[in-house]
Amino acid sequence: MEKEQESQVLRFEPSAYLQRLIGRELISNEYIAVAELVKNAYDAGATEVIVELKRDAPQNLVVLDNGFGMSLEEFKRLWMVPGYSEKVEAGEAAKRPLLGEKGIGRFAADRLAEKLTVVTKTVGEDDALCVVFDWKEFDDRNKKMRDIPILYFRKRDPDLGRRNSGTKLELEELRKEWTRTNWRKLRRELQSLVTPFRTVRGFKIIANAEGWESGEVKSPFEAQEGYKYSFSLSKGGRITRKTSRPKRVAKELGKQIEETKRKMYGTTSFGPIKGAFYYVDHPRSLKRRGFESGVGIYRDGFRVEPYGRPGDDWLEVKSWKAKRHGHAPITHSRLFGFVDITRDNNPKLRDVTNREGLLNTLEFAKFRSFVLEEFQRFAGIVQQEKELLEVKSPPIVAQQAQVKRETRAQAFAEMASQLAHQLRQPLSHIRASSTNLRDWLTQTDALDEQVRQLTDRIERNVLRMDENITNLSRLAQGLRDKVVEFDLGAFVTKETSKHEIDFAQSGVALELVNCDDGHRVKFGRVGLGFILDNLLTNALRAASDADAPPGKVVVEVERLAQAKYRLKVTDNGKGITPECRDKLFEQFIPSEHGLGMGLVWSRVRAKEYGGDIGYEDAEPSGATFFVMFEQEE
Amino acid sequence: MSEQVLVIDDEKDAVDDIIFALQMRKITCRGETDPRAAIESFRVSPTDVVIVDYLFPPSAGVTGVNVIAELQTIKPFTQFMLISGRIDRDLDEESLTEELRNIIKANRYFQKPIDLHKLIETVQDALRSIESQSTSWKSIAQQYVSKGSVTAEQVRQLNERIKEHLIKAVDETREES
Repeated sequence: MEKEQESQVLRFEPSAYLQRLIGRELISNEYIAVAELVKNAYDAGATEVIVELKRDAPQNLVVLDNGFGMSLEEFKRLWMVPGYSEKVEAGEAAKRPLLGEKGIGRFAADRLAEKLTVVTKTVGEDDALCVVFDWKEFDDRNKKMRDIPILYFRKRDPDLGRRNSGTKLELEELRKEWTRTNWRKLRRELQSLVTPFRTVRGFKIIANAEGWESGEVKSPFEAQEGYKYSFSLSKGGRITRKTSRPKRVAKELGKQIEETKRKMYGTTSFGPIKGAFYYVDHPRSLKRRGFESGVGIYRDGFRVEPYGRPGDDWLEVKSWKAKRHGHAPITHSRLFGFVDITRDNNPKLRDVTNREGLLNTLEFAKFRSFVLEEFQRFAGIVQQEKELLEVKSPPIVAQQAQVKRETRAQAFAEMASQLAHQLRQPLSHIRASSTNLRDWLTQTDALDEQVRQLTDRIERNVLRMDENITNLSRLAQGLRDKVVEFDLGAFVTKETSKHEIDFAQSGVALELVNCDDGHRVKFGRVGLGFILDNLLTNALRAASDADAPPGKVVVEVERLAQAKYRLKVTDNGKGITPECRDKLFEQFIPSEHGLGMGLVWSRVRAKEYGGDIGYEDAEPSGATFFVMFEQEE
Repeated sequence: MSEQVLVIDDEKDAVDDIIFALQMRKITCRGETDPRAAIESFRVSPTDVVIVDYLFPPSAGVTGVNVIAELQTIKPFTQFMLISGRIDRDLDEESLTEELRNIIKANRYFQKPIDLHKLIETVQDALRSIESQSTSWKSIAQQYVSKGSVTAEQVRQLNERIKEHLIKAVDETREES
């Protein structure tokens, strides 16, 4: 039997380079690095932290807090052991929950400067402890952490007097030259570090740089005109919700504030939490004061990155709107808000190591789904009230819709008119070239029957195409046609006179019945001109092809009961086959004369003006098309 | 000798089409695609008839109607024909300017795609009418020239006759319209 060998021990020996990995390389930018140091000050029980940029070349950065400070023993225990955090003890002493939990925030200093001097002192000590770190020495991968000696000494420090305590971080040989723009951005970042929605008791952040913006960075969020929806979930699972509306909505709907309580959410693995969404009417003034739109998560008053930052969409507001093609009720740029949690009550909502987000645990998923549900409830209220207001003010809505329709119609008319012009240019060239070709061949005695037929075909098709362009152009023009009152009889007489030559040439009789004065109608003149032109052209073609010539077309103004008028155009052609009858106004039915767009467009036009167009068989043969006018006496 | 017809259209193809048709009928002509250049060319060498497009690119800063007005100041009795792919005369009647309405009324307006035969016919009518006027003036002048040298009194008498003719023509035109 083999004898078990005696166990031996292995130990980790972290490379000095580890410091660089958890410091300089883990922190994504210098603003987050300063924020980390500020959070450390908070954890150290400070009521005030001053970030000061000394602008004389070379620039230096100093972070001074009035926290507990550290004795040499504490420094060895707290600072010199990476990953160590004394949460409970320090938290109790400061009577506040701690922000740091990883014990690595101190290494953020490496992101900012090559050299760090920590000056720290507890109450009662005369001299402060000074410890000097040169981060360059940690860059050597072959060295172990413990191989790098860290020098310390004691000295009097004017910022840390005998009765005072605190820690001062002096950052020298900065990795980046700070500009005024960077400084402003830092102040904004520090401002957004602490919740603007409530006071974080006993903690003040000051950022000074001589000649640049200086002083306290806190700027409270002032509720603007708009919606506010607040919610809270108690430890026992009770939800309270409160909605307040903008004044104009409250006035219209007769309610301003609504509060609901005592709805049980069930058992939760998180909470208590509370939050609020502000949907403001004029976000610009808030943005000018450095507030970003978005819903942030704040833990014990401090922001948890990156929730609610530009580029983050943890509540899916932007993607929700995109999915609804821009019709979602909430616009991201007008939405501000916060969700407050505490570390003590939500221990399972923990940061990822780089402090940029919460660990994606089941608890976080449940927490997110709860907030999302509240947000959607709020969005539902906004949407519902928006719709209610629209119903309450139909004339305004109708007016707006009308303006929109008219603007669109005008743009379409202009576009169609330009298009018609553009299409007619080459068409004109084709027609002229064909005519020239034929004339040239005639002149040189080279025109044969084949060429004659071909040029005829070009001519015919050019004219057909031109007719369609004209129809399109007229239809578009008609869209900007205003409804006016005019005499139907006089209008018909004038319009039909334009067709007299065509009728005479085709040998078709044109008869007007009851087209005298006194029949006033309200309609679009251009629209009716288009419809009548189309009906007369169709009728002429049909009558030219009549079974029992001569062809005849009758145009009649007919007065019906209830002061309604009908304008009838009847031909004695072959009539419309039953198969085509049902589709006359619904589909484009191409014929040898055109694309069959005329009747469809005529009906569209007629309906635009509150009328209609219809068909009935004529006796003994032929077709009657009529336009109905809805008139009041 | 100056050409009989000037064709102005910013589309070179359109100018070429009309010029080809005119030249085939032995009508002397020239073309311009830039309306400003056309006005200058007309000033140097005026024609009896001008065929002009209505719409030019915005950079030209003029319409066919502006061009006609300008050319009329250079040679008052020029005959004009307007062509366009933009104006629908049945539709835009109310929005037409007085000048345009007069052109349309005088059947001197041709909508694109133009009927080349109708256009040529109108040009030929115009040229014929100018020719006949010119012939009647010539015959009057010949009567004087054949008598030998023209005295101051004869010039005065000729002026009186021209005046009478003009007054009569104006009266007749008024009555007709």
